[in-house]
Amino acid sequence: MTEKITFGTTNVTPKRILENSESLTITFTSDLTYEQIKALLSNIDNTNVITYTRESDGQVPYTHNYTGYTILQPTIGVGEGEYTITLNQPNLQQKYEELRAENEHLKADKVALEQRVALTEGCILELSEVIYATETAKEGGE
Amino acid sequence: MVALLWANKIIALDKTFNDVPAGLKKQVAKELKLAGCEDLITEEQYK
Repeated sequence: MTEKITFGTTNVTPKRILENSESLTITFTSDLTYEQIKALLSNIDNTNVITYTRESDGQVPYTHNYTGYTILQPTIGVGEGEYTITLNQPNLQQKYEELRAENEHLKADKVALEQRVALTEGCILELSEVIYATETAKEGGE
Repeated sequence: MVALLWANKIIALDKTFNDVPAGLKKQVAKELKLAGCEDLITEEQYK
């Protein structure tokens, strides 16, 4: 999985694998939800993921602490700035894409359901208008 | 149930109290009062 990220502070030398005793804090934005990211990163290899924390209650950005991942393609050198990080785990890209597709599917389902609810509510309101109008007419006739 | 739906629509500003069928107004007014939205009842006799 490739994400464009911004390092806060780091002493990591580019293009090497972090040692197990090292940790790295990165911040990035993602289309995935907090829970999806958490599940994605927690299930891949527990020996490599030390902690996972969210910086705030908001959905983005996420803050992760990793060890054991390969840092690739630094664009501006060590320190603060933008990097491209490739998580050194098999199938991560595929899982990421699956979750993203699932997200899109769920969003579409949500919209469709909301439309159906609105339609149903409209029908109920109209029916109640007809029913009460009929009852009123009956009472008037009697 | 229908009265509650009407009340919710009025609270959401999708409908007004005037739109409510006459036979339902009393129940809808009750629901609006329970929801603390008495100000949305626009007919004096139901306040």
